Amino acid sequence: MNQMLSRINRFCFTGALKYRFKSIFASATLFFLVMTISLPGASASVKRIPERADGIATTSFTQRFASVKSGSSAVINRKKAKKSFPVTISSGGYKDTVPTRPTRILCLSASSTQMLYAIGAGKQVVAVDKYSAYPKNAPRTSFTGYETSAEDYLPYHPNLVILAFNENNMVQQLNVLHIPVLVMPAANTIRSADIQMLQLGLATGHYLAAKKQVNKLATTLHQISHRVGNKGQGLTYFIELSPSLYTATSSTFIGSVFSLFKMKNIAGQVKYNSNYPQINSSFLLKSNPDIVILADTVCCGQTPKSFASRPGYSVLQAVKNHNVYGVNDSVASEWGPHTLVVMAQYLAQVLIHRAAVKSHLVMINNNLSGRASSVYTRIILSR
Amino acid sequence: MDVTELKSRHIIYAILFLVIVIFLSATTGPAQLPLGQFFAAVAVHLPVISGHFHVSSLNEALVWQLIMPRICLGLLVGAMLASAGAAYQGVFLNPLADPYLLGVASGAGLGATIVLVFIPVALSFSFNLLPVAAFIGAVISVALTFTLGKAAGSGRNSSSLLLSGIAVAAFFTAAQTFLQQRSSAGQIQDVYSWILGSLATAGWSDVTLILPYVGLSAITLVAMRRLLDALAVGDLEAQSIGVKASTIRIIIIIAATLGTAAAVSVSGLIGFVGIIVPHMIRLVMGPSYKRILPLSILYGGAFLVLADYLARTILYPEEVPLGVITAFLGAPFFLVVLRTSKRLI
Repeated sequence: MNQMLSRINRFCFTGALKYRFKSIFASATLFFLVMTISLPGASASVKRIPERADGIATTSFTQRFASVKSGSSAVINRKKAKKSFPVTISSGGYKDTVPTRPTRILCLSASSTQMLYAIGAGKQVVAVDKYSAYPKNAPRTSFTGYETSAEDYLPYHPNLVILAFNENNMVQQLNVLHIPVLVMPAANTIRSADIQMLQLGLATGHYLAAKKQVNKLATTLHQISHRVGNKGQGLTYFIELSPSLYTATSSTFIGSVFSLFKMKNIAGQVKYNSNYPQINSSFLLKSNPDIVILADTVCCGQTPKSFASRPGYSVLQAVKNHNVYGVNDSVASEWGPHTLVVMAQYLAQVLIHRAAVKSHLVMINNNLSGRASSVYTRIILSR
Repeated sequence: MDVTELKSRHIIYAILFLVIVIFLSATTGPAQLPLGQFFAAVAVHLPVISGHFHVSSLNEALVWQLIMPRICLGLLVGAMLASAGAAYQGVFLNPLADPYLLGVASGAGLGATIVLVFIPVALSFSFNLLPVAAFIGAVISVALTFTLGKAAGSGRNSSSLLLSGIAVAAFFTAAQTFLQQRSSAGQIQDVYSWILGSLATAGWSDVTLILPYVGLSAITLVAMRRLLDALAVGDLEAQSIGVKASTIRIIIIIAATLGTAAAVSVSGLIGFVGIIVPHMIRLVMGPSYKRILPLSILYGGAFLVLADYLARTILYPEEVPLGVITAFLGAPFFLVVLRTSKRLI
């Protein structure tokens, strides 16, 4: 049972994911491929390395960039950064070598797609998964990242595949086909997202642009945080991921966005088995958060109004003060630079204009892409 | 001395156990309210004395909107599942029969999944569509089971009914799995939460929604307890003493199924209660349904309230799925009773 729960948690929150059941034929294909991989010598190219609890790779690469911090000057080994291919990248517990500058990138992670376009590697991208909502001109496909066979990807002739997780032994399958693959798992902090952007820069030949982007991002976040001042300090918040009260703790990427404003997660006081625990409704009422963010508006149709109408919730000060806000579900499952900035800006607007907003229905409706930022700003300011 | 008759002391013990469990669950839960505040929060909702008590709105909401409906729903669902389980075991003369035998679970599961996947916005309506859809799904699947069972077997043969129940359950489960495959991650999580069973979002509206069904069903089953004993000796023997076995069987199955469908619609699929509680009573009190059915209602309710108490406290502030607790708590306890009892199932 625990295995099942951890499985649910894992694939519910490591990206805008999709559960994929194996069909009989797909299982047969997978079986054949796994058997092929297990043949002597075939598995030599797959090098599994130990994974740290925070999801950051523990390889020489990450150690080399261990001092990379958002807002500070990154330590750059310029010679290595400019060094021509091949480059070896370790991430998400896997290590692979990109032999030449990739010209046909297949990206199956919405967050990595945002990063690739932010660092100027967009022209090299030939296909992205269906959940990569930003940027709008990204070549979206019907891929979900849960494909059972690497064969599905071959029509795009990729020379680099980027995954968020290794479902269905896809890493091993791509290794058999000699297609370089990077696994960029869910980042738990802004820093680990920065490291992923630098890794993508290195893997695509845009390292310096990636470093510039990391510094720009840090400056933007600093400016947003400065604009808010101490308006968020000490305020408590609750992020709802489903009506059954699954939430994100402060040890998650979205939690770290709130930490920028020195806000306190009501689920942050306790040690959980997961960073996405299901909490008790009595605990929510007793914790009485100042701000509630609903990240289940798309999946589960929740609105600030429906939240307020639940039994007993009318006594919450967030409800009384109209500080319940609905956002697109993707903010809780993406760690790309666009999502980060939009969410930080949104939160800043909430904190600055919190007292003046007298509506339950402040929503980000357009999938956090394109004009999202200006749209929600106007909504709040016009109240 | 008649060892099959229900004695008043049996009822008193069961009620005492129930009261202790309710008191424990209400007053020592994670809210950690002082006893005075707890009683005041209840008292302000009682006529005549309400004016004499003062309680903060937060505590009042905690007790009256969250804890009390949850306990009441636990009582109703536990009582229904245990008594329906006992009735099914009597009707089918099968100790492994449980309330989900005729496809209630798969039908309700499909109904709930349809709402969660296709009309998630329905969850935000003030009138919750989810239990209604689950109830309709459960009733449709059992109706199909009956129709197919009747067509397949001559008359109301219980074996053909069981087999058609298995076929219908397989079909509905396949449809549910297909829908899950087409849904998003957040929706899958809600479907799984529902499948694992929970009383976490219980409100008074859920209690009032299922009360008529559970009440009617429980009364019918208790009224039929002597006839269930007659069925236990065989259809021919029952008919020789004036009991029309097929009619009795249908009435009991319909009552148990409707009650189960109502319970499942608000609580999700909570396993083990329907098997373990009746069997524990059977092992301790003997095989007579004159004892098993009324006591299943009381101990079933108490068992689920206790399991739910553990579900919301052992990992507080996290919730543990109720189905996990009922299996964890029920299975070892049942094995102990099974090992120590000299009675046969």
